[in-house]
Amino acid sequence: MITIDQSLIYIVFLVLASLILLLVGIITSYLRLISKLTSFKGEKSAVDTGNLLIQAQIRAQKILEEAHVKAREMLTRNDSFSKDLETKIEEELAKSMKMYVDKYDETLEKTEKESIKVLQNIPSDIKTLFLKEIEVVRQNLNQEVQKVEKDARQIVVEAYQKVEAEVEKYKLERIKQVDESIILILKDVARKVLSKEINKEEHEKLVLKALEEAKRQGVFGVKSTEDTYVRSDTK
Amino acid sequence: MYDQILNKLRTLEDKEKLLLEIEILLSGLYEEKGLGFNSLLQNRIRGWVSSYLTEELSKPDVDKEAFLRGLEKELKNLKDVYLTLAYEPTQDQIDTIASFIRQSTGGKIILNLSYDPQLIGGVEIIYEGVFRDFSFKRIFEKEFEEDREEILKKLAQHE
Repeated sequence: MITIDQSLIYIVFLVLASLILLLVGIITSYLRLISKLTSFKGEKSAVDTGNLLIQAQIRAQKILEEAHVKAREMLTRNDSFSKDLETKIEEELAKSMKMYVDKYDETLEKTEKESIKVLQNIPSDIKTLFLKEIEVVRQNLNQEVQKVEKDARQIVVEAYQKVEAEVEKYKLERIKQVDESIILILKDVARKVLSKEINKEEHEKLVLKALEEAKRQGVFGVKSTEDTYVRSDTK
Repeated sequence: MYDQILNKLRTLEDKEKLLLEIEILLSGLYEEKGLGFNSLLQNRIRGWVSSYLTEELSKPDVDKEAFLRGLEKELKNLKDVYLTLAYEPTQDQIDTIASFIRQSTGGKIILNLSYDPQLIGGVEIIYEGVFRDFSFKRIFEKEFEEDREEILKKLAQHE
């Protein structure tokens, strides 16, 4: 792009230079003509001014036409020059553009390939990373599950042991209660049987034996060494 | 003086009956100028008590009131012997028991009898604040406790 601008500037300068030169040439010719005219006037004062004027005009016109032609030629040459330059610049531009486009295409293609490669690699990278993470998580989870399992088993075992102990304790208590009940029942039955079996005479004997023992032990005041008792038959 | 009547008393009921009779007689001493007393003695008192009192009060220099008061005092001074028996004894058996205890203590006692079949046999005695267990129940329970394990084992074998 910079080259194109420079070419254009050169072209403009060339055109301007050509025009200035042309202008200078024209002015110089005009001044010569004026000076010739002046000198011709001086030499021949009797010359027909009208004719001179007409001739001067004709000459000026010729000069102008020549100048015009020359300027045109110059411009044509400049045109052709600028056209050549333009063509060359266009060619160069096209070449550069093509070069840049090619380079851009190449770079783009390269980048695309790289990206595709990267993109293609990402899943496998991610996959590897993911698998690694999964493995770590799986191991952690396994450990946690094992720990929880162990804790749960421990809790169950403890609870079972506790319940077993309580059941055992309850069992022992109940057995003890049952034994007590059995003993009470047996006592009661034995008592009733014995009570029915003992008649009044046997009762009297038991009471008197008991009173003798009481006397022997000094319950009634004085300890006795006697083993007999006195039966009172009269009031 | 009072031994004859006191020896005839056995139980607390006897004592309280006699005390009541004495109370009746004492109250009758001053009714109808003493005529009521004789009537009461004949009609309101038990036969054997009436006979004893008639005999004693007819002795010379015996003041009725003093005698009755004296008897009342003696009755109240009798020591209670609390006996718990496993059965209800006959009167003869009560007499035997009372005689034995009277002989053992020196005489002036009265039996306070109660009945508890749980004793099975024998007697529980409370005398002068001291309790003694001479019942079969004590022996029975002692033997039962000692042989408890053996009894339970035998029961288990029979299951």
